[in-house]
Parts: sequence; C-alpha cells; structure tokens
Amino acid sequence: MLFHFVERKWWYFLFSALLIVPGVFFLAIGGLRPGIEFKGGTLLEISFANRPDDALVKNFFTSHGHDEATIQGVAGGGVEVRTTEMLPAELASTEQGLKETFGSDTRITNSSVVSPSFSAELIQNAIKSIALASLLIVLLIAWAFRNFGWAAFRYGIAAIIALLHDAAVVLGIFAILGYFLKIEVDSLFVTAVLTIIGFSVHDTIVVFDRIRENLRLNPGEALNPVINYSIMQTLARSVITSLTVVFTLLALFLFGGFSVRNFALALLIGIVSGTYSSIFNASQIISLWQEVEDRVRHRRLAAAT
Amino acid sequence: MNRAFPWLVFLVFALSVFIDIPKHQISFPFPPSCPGVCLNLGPIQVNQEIKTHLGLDLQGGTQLLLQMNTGEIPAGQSIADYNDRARRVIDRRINGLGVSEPVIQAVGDDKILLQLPGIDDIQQANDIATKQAKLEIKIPDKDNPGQYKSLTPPLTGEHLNATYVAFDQSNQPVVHFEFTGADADRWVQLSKDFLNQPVQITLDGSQISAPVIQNVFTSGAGQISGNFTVATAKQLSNLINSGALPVSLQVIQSQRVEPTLGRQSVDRSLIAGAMGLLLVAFFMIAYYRVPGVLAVMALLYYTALAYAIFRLIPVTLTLAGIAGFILSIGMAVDANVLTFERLKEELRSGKSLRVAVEEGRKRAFPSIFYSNLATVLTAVILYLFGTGTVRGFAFTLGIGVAVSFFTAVVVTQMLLHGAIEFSSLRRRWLYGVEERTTEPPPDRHAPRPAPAL
Repeated sequence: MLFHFVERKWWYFLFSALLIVPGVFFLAIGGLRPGIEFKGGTLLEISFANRPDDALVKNFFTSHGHDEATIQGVAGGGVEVRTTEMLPAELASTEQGLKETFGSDTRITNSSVVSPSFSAELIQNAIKSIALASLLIVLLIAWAFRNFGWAAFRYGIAAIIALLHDAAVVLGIFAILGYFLKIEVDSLFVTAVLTIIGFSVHDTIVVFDRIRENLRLNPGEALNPVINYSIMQTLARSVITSLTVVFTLLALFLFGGFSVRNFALALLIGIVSGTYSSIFNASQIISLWQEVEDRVRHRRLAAAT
Repeated sequence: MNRAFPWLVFLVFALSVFIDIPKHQISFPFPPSCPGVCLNLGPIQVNQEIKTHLGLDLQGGTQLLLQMNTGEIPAGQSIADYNDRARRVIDRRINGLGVSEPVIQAVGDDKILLQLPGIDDIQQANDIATKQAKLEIKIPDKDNPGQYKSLTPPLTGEHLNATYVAFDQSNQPVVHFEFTGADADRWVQLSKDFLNQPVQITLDGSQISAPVIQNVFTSGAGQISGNFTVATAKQLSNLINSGALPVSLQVIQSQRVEPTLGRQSVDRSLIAGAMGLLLVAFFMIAYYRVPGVLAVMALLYYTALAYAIFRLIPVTLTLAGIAGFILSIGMAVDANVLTFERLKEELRSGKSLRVAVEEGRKRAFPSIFYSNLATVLTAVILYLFGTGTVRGFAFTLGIGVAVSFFTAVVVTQMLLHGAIEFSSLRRRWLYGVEERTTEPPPDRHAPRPAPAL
C-alpha cells in the first residue's frame, strides 16, 4: 500500500498555511513579547501567607515609585511582578516594605533583574548566534547534498523552506500566546528555536538522502513514485525518533516546573512541526519544482513545433 | 569483537554507578579527609571531588553580574588586568565570610560574574561586590573652614599592613592600621603639620571619623574609632585588608533564588526526568520488543554514565541544564531507532538474524554519526554565544549527545550481538518482523529499496 504523500501535496501545503498565516498576523501586530532579558527590568516572584488582592499589591508598587508595575497571579498562591530595573539596595528595601505591608511571611522567592544596557547586549548575542547558526546550517545542507549534482540547489532550497516553516510555526504560536496569554520570550526561547532548526534540517536530510539513493537505483523511474516510496521507508524512523523526544519534552512540560515550561512548549511545537514538514512539505516542494519545470519544457516544445 | 571488550564496557558501567552513588570516598592509601577520589601513589596524585554541583537556581543564593566602569581605567592599560585585580579583591572579601563554593568569574574583559550560594541577603552581596573600599586621609581645608580636602598626591590605604581590631583606653573596638614605606613618613609628617587639628578618615568619600591629632606620631601606625561594635569593626578591617577595587563596579544583572524554591525545582526535575525515561522505555519495548529491551538497558547505561561525567568534571547543573539532559535522553534513542529500523529492513529482505544485525550496524552508522554531529554543532554554537542559562543547556545537551553516541554504537551493538547468541531470542517476531512464511510478496510497482542511507 502506498500513501499518497506527493499527490495530495496541496492539502498539506494548505494545512501548513492555516497554521502559519494567523501566527504571522500576530507577529506583525507585535504579539511576540520580549521578556526582561531582552528589554531590561525586574521580575519578582512573591509568595504570601495569604495572597492579597492584586490591586493592593499594585498599590504598594505604585506608592514605591513603580507606577508601571504589572501584577500576575501564578500557581501556588504567589504573584509575579514586573517593574523597571531595581538595584540591589532597592530590592532589599522593597522586600522589607512588602513584609511590613503584607505580613512577615511575605517573601520574594525569586528576583531577577536585568539592566537595559545589558539586555541590548543579550539581544546582540541572540542575533549573533542565530546568524552563525543559519550560516552553519546552510553549510551543513551544502555538505549533505554534495553528491546530488545539479539537483543539490533545489534540495537545499527545499530544506531551507522546511526549516523556515518550522521557525514560523513556533514564532507564530508564541506570538499568539504572547498576545492572549502574555507569555514572554527569553534567551531560552531563542535556544529552543535554534535546537528545532537543527532537528528539522536533519530530519529533512534523512528523507532526501533516501530519495537520492532510490533515484540512483531506479534510473528512468518517475520522480513522484520514488518520493512516495522514500517517505514510506523513512516514515517509521522519523515518527519514532520524534515520538521519543516528544515523550521526554511532555514530561518536562508537565512536571518540570514553571521556569522550563515555556521552553519545553516551544521545543514540543517545533519538533512536531519539524517532523510534519520533513514528511509532508520538504519532498513535496521537490516534486512541485519538477512538475513546474516539466510543464515549462512541455510548453516550450509545443511552441517550437 | 575483542574478548576483553564486554568486560571493559561493564567496568565503565560499574564505575559510573559507583560515582553516581550520593556519598562515598575512594581513598588510597587512606588520607584522613577526602572529598571523593584521592590517590596518593608517589608519582600519581589524584584529588578529585565527587559531588553533584547545583546551580544557584537549584540550591538558592544570589548572583550578580558586574560591569566594570572602564572609563576610569587610564588609557593604554589592560582592561583584563583590572578585571583580574577586581576579582582578586572580591575573592578576598568573600573569603572572610565563609561562603561555600562561591563563583567569581570574568565574563568577557569588562564583566564579572559573582555567585554566592546560600547568601540570601542581596544587600550584603551588593556591598561585597560594589563597595570600592577606598580609604583616604583628608586634611582641613583652609579656604573652606569645617571642610576637608585631599593631600597631593592623596594619602590612601593602598600601602597598609594588615589591619586588625583592637580596643582603645575606654575598651571600645577600633581598627588598627599601619602605613608602610613612604606613606609612613608622610603620616608622621602629617601629624607635625596638623598638630592639634582634626584630620578626616574617609571610606569611599564619606567620613568614618575625624580625630584631632594630639601628639606627633613616631610610626606609620594609627587607629580608626567611630562607634563600632566588634562585628562592624571586623567588617571594616576585612574590607580594608581585602584592598580597594581598582575600578568601580555596577550591577547589571541580579538574580536571587530562595533555597526552598530551588529544592522544589530539583524535585520537579527529578520527576520529569524519571517520567521521560519511563515513557521512552515503555514505548521502545512495546514497539521493538527484544531490541527495545536492549535499547532501554543501553539508555540506563547512558543515564548512569552521563550523570557520572557531570559529577566528575564537574558540571554545574541548572534547571536549563537538566532540561538539556532530559531532552538528550529522548535524542539518545534516535541512534537506536536508526539501527533497529535498518535491522528490520535487512530481516525483511530475507537475511539471517546474524547477518542482519551486522548489516544494520554498518548501514545505520553514517546516519547516526551525522545526526549526532549536527546536534553537537548546534550545542557548540549555543555555548559560544549563550550566557548563563543557555550555556547550561548547551553543555549538558552536548555531553549527553556525545555520550549517547558511544552507548548506541558500542553498548547497544554489544548487547544485540550477545542476545542473538541465545536461541530462545532468535525468533524473528521478537524483532518486530513477521515470520518468513507470512511475508507478503514484494510490491511489483515499488522501486527496489536502497541499500544504504
């Protein structure tokens, strides 16, 4: 039995578009929220014996010169407060003030401060690592397809489109989450995206390698059946490898605690998307390319005669 | 395969498990106190601590990232050199506090990372890191009565013997100091010039005391008094003895985590790791049967070995680092999956089990090597450009993938070769392939499968 991986390609492209287009929309309207690492500021996790009304907490910070403070409840009876940068002396006096206002059991369990000047450097670092990783991945693709001859170029382009697809899915979903649930992105998110890109490229290359082998072994065979067969051959490996990674990420997401949850979520989305794109998008682009090329040649021949 | 080889593999496993056990010592020939592995065999000296190093987010404490004010450094002088000196000053200050395992690290040329496990008081951490501790003696300013001004050149605490806490006539704690060299002569001269006048002793520009000079000094010695308790006098003495920071430092990033929160995170990570391992193990056995069981054994081997390496290097484990480790468990299986899928294909094409195992290994190897290389490269980039959290993730992911390469290529293969020696384990269905008689005829339309990936 052969599954119609190639013949139904427009359905698979449509499915990808349905995933990506809303995400791109929310990206465009600024849905992706930079965390304090990227814009500077203070993040406090405060725990109370009895959690007071958010408005009271807000009042406290307003009266201590932090009009901009935002209060957000978290699991376990605590709140997260975001303000502009606080220096250590101010942090110490804030904790003292919180104890006086809300009772001596009030504690800042976790405080994290990044100065705006340093966050600019962190953004630069993130951009540098993305640029370097992209360069390396293009080299990796070039190297992986070194034996593909003239076709190397189209395989490379298809692999790059597949990885852009995965990056777009993750960024888009986090833009939507940022817009509606105020989820922020930090340098761990950048790390997740880079890890996903590496994973996606490798997945795609495994499929393409099979296509090349099968083309070599079956000269004269049409491209589409070969692609179908090659995807079938690598399907088990792709799905199972992703599944085991998904299992571990799911465990991290469910049990790993608050600070790695978004990280695990980003990886989870990316790995699933990477598997999808390597099975349902990458090879289909090769097929489409060939079909367009055939049609152009056909038309030219028709015009010549 | 060499006969001794399986024993070597087993020895590595036994050693890993031994290192993973929480508390123990290996010492020869029995030094009195040993933090881990201690060997003293003449030319061979080993003194390696074995312990899991937890990051600040897992054990609680305060972390500061400090930016040097490079504008204060005279042109032409090395910034790295100033960084070095500043770190030594901070190191001396912390030594007086009894913090266990502080981290004082240069980050680039102009930044210093300071980690103080167990220090919950961010104000105290801030004082240690940013108080410049410049002691200076100032003289009365004739033009502005009641004000003080610096000598030219300023008389500072740069050339002092170690100060100590003493008690004056009324039994109040004071800090005793003594100038050395040329500064001692200047100190004596100063007592002649300003006899019966007050001079000001300042720390970082603010006055500690302004005693009146009552007699001409005969040495560079003096004392600072000023409503000290024994503790505050000791603090001041420690601060002066540690020396002044060569440049001022500014906190650009701070993180403080409560120890209870850290412990919760450790528990959560352990649960997540165990659940991840269980899910993967369950799936692999259900799907691959005998090879699945072998893969799970290899996975346990992998976990024990990787953790032992973390303890030996030692790698400081953070939340992100543990996430990387857990992720690498999922990725470690990939190599086994590639091998087993190949094995199935070889079996389906009609080869005997023994041949199929060998062919599967050969043909899966390039893919495995390639996939691991790609992940290690990503980890290296992340490590080079990342800071704190990202580095922790990249490091454990990188080590994890490298170790998994070893376990998949060596350990799983060894187990697989061992397993097919048992006749009861030689049935094809145990490897997820139909018995030969029920195999469907090959699809006429399908291209022939490729021999190599």
